Amino acid sequence: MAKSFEIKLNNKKIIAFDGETILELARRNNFYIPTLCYHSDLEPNGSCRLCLVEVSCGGREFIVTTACNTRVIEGMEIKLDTAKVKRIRKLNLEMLFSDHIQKCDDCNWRYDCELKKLAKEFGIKEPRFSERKRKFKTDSQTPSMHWDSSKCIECGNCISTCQQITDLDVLKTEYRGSSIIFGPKGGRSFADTNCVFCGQCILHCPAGSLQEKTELPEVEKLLQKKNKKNILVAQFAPSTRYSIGELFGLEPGVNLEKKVVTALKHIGFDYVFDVNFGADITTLEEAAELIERLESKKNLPMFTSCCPAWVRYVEIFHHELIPNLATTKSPTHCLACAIKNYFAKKMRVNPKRIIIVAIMPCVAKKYEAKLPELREIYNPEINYSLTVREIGRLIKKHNLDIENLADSDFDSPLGNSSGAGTIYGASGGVMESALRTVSSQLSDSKMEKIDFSEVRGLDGIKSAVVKIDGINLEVAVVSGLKNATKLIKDLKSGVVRYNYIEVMACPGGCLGGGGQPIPTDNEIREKRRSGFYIDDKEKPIRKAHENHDVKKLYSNLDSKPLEGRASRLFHRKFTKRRKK
Amino acid sequence: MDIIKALKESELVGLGGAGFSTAMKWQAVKDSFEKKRFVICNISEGEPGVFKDEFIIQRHLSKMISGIEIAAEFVNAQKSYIFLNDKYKHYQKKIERQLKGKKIEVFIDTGRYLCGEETVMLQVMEGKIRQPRLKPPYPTHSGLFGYPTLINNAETFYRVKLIVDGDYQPKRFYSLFGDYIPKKIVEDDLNASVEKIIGSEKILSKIKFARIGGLSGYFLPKNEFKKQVSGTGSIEIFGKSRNVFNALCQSVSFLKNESCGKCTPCREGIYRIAQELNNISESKSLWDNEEIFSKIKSIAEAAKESSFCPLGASIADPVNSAINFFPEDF
Repeated sequence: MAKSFEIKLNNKKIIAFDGETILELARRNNFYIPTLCYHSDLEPNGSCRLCLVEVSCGGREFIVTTACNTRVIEGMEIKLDTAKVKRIRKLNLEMLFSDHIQKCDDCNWRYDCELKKLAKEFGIKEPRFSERKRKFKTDSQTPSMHWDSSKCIECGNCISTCQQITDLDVLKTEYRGSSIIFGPKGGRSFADTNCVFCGQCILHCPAGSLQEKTELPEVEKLLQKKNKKNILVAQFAPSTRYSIGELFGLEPGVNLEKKVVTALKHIGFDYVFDVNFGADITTLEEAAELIERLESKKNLPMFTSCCPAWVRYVEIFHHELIPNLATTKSPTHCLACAIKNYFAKKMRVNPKRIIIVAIMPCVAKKYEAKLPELREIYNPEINYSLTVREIGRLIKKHNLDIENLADSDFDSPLGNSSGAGTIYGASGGVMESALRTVSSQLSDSKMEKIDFSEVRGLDGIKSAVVKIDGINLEVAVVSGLKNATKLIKDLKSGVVRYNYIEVMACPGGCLGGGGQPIPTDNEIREKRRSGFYIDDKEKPIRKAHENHDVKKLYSNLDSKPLEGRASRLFHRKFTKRRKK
Repeated sequence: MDIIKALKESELVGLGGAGFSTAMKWQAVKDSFEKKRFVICNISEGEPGVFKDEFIIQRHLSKMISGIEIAAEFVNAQKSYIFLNDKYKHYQKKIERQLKGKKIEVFIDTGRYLCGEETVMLQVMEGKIRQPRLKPPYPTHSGLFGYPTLINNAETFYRVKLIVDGDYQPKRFYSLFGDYIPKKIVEDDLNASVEKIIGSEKILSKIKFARIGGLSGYFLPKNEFKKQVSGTGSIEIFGKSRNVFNALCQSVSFLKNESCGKCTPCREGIYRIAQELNNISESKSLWDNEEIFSKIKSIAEAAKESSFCPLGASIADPVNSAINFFPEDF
């Protein structure tokens, strides 16, 4: 326990802990301090200068300082909201406002704009300064990212994120003073960088300057059904159902899958499938791969390859690890293949007529969907990949009150999933699902284990030794690319040794993904996470290979995991990409 | 010889502008727990109105270097650096000739004004983004690459050498230039007044105002010349025909170009002040001017109170002093 002492805040005596900032102290005691660039994931930048307070130490004169990065010390006296602070704060916001071109229509913050909220609070009616960024640069050359420097308020969070969470240094500054540019390589294009499109910078951008490249207009055009031949299929990812409610003011971690199915059907999708089913296919294939590699002792440790940002990272930075990646496709692509082959055959339609729109917690999936490796001749497996935020905007456009919609189930036969598929969205989930299947395939049915709680949780690096049928399986679960870099370094130097490693580029796994609702912080991640494991516990079937629908699929394809048609449909190749 | 005691007795303060007690700074580095330490002599001198460091390189280089050596020995530093602005690049050979066999290295950078702020200089030396760091931790505790670092100005090291040699007098260098006076360095008492430094009665009679502390400094009308010179010790004098408005525009455009762009009040504020000054030169009615004045003043206050580093706060000095002393010049 940290040392505690008494300090004065607004003439009230409260207990403060050594090492905490004024902002943390105030929030803990339910005092309000406005912030804009502060994010609990990052070390405070202190660049927006809105969280101002007046502070005096040991009876000295009061000075204005920022609450986000000033630590409390003994004998401190703090005053919030003094006239001077209010005056300066208002002016700073006014200047920030004129620094930001309002392109609200397709902004991430459209319904919840932090800048507008603060402007209202501070009583700014009309900015006194002219806009200065009309003709600033935008970039949307890559399939994932859209960068608009005219909206940037130069807080520097994107750079902190790129350094502190992903450790890639894609985002940089160029020039100085009022002409400073924060962006990919200081103002070029994401296409010229080694960006892996994890999208964490989007989650930490308070002004909507960094966003996903939206595919909503194309999807909306399709939904108007000009072309009667199209069959529109939506599929949504494990983690999206626990977070989409946040866009409508609900608590994180509430499972809304049934309401979302209704909403999507209402919007105009013909079928709605569950990516959890695809996750069950991935689990089966990956478990088979793991068993094969363990037996042949080749290409170990095996890395998961569900996360497209991680795969791109390996393809760019670690060519030597490409053989170690599991060749199984990610759940959404497995499901898409199942739809375009198995389902299409069953419905007797041409696969080319099926348009799949995937709803993902991820912006790298947009890039993955466009990859030539993941196409069937001229037909992409996934036609469009939308983020949770985009689909939320679409639902809002249709004025649907998601909370009060009727429940509907996923369409069969690709709708039923096991508990193993459910937990895919949390860090450790892919690992746990695969281990469940591996353990029951390798050991006696009575000995098998279902809960592998040692790989759960939000920690960046988790490792465990799992005993299956006398074999000690050394596993590690990593989330956040910075931790992955560290792990690879340790692996190469021989400090650690693993057989099976799960890597997710975003902290906490897909539940903290770059396409998730904003804000996303540790508290929200934890709430979303708890939803997964509650649902997993309640599922009647908790192992992927026991899912009857998956069994039916395999018998229909007339093959087993890793063999024949399954190996053609559910496995992919990797490419060596050049480092820029 | 007890250097700390000597430093304390001499009451030497940092002569780069901030005026922090040298004895305390040295003691803080010496007392730190880290084994690895650095000493840096800051000759970034990005302020165009200050040229005393150049004078020291020209006249007192060997004394300055001995000062660095004394410091390095005292704090037990592994290595020392001379951070040299690249406008003084032509002195590099001269300096390096005297560094032979010593653990001192010259680090050349485009310097610019910002490197006067020590944490920006550290960021530059580490190859990081050219923006100030949060203080605390101070460089004496966690400086270059996270190790305790002693950073002093060239003149401070020179004075340290004088103290050790027993030649010290409480004096400092003043950079004096402007109308009627070519660039020159004047050595005078620590608390000398503007009048005394300029000296000549003949020149004093032709002066309208002076700018103290370089382009980021404040304006002083002639009737206030009894005041002592603070900060970097630079005096630029302006003749009777000169207008404070133009001088202010020069200051603001300099600060606008040199701002790093980290925090709102400095980045946006100075840009807006420049814009508003432009509006003044175009506006016709006095009533407009009043409104513009109030805007400029409130921005200056925001910059002064809420900037991340002292360089952003410095915009308030030229703006406020110009508006207070010479409202008729606008």
